Amino acid sequence: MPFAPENTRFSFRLLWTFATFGGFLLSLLFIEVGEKPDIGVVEAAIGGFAIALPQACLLKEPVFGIRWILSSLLGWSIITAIGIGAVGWIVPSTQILPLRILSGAIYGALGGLGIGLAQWLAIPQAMAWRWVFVSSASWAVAVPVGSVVGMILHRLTQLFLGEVMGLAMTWLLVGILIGNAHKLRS
Amino acid sequence: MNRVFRRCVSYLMCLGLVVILTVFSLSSVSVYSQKISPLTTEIRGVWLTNVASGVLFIPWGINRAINQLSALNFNTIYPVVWNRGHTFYKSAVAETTTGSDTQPFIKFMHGGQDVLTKIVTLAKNKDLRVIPWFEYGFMTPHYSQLARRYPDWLTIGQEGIKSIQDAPPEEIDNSLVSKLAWLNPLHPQVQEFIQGLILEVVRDYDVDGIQIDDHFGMPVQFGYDRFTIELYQQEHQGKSPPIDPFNSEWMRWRADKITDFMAEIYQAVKAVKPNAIISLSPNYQAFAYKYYLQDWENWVKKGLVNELILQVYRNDKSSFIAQLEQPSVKLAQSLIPVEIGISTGTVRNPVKMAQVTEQVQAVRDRNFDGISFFYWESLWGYIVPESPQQRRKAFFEMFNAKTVRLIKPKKL
Repeated sequence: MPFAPENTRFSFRLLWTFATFGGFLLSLLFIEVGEKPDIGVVEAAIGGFAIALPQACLLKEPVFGIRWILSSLLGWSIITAIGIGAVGWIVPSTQILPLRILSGAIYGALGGLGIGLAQWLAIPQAMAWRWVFVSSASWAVAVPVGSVVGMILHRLTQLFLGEVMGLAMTWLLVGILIGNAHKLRS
Repeated sequence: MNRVFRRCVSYLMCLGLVVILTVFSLSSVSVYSQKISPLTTEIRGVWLTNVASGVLFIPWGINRAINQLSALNFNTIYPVVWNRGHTFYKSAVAETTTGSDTQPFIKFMHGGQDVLTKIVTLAKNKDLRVIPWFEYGFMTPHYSQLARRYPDWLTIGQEGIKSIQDAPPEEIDNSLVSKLAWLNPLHPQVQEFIQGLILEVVRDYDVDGIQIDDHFGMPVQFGYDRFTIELYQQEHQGKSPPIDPFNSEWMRWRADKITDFMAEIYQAVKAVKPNAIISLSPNYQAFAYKYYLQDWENWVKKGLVNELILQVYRNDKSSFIAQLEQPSVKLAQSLIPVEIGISTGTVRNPVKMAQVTEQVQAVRDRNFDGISFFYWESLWGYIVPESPQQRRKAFFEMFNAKTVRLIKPKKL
């Protein structure tokens, strides 16, 4: 599977990041951010769809795009159903910083693993396992960082909006970190 | 082989997804509708505004708000219909006067459909009272068509002061409206315009009444425009108004003129729809009279108000309670239904749910007829300290008893 030229790769990464972040903003029209029990499977599926849709628009083949959407939707639904939680839309109940970092890393890694495994069904086999690892690692980093930012903003402003901004940070990081996405175009 | 395996896994997982979504969508029916509690007559309202709030603009914002409010046993909404020189319904009066029948952005967002019609239809289906709120009263921005087209309709202070620093709480930081012009409540054409707006809402929509608030008055420093001065001179043997805006006779004269106009509105509304509620949401009497010449205690005594919602947007508990126990409030309580307006917060001043709960209890302890919250976005939006779900849960615990709908003023 050939790599895209450097400049193309960069622009695709940028577009991918915008699509991911834009998808999150779009999802906020349908999903209300809350604590873990507040976000059910239906909300997670809707959120997964909102994220995957703009991402799929960047993929070359329509059939591949449809598979991408379905697998993402599936991934988000499953991790929510089995109790990991819809990590992209939930806020930890704890206000203790080390706990937030630890739980964010663990649940982020597990959630990323679940989503990556589901998306494994949609992507070329050659990069499948690497994708699963990248997904898990990216979420393991992005969730605690966003969670800490969210907690600080929440405390400073006394607005729950701070937590939502923390989640936006998470999605931005995920968009950036999952840089290997450019290979999906091939 | 690997390909076949992946395909089998895909099919199985898709089947699983369908099952999961079916099961969870069936089990996620709102918990709010599952409890049965005794009925109460408490009025539970909320103001819906266009400022610092997307509820009127997002395509499904109104539907969602009304569904959620109904599920949490609210029974009254006060949607804004007059703000910054624009109407939020299709107004022939506004079109004739300002050239615009509806606020342009809301018109665009709803594809030209009438927002108030939509609100009324949805609210009636959920048995919510709709009392359109003329938020800006006599205020209008200097940039509005109204102020530009009819400069002689505006009242001014001494030395030509044309503005007042008086923005509603939700737009206190908005520099565009932080200095506002004031339509002269004594001017016959202003009166005709404002009354025209009110009457077309009462006549053309299935509303339960109309609401005016603390902006339905005149800032005490105003009244030095040519029209008002001449009127004063006609009634005072050619004498000009006193230089001191706080001169008691000068204050009384202007306040009485506003009261006269209030009486005209009352009669005109009742002539169109006898059961329509005239709702008033003022500041406390001493402040309202001293600074806005709004003598609402007198309005209540004269029977010009059917429902009073006193704005008590305070964080301090003792200060809050002191407002509830003012003699003017007690007098109003003996004559008409009186509610207390409680702030659920703004972006600049977020309010914790514990404070809201405590204030609701203080209101209930003093046998008021209800509560109204300012404003929708801070009931359970993101501009509050708690999560939306935690806020809704707390509201449901406060309002777990359903209400009997109040249609007629019960004490008049």
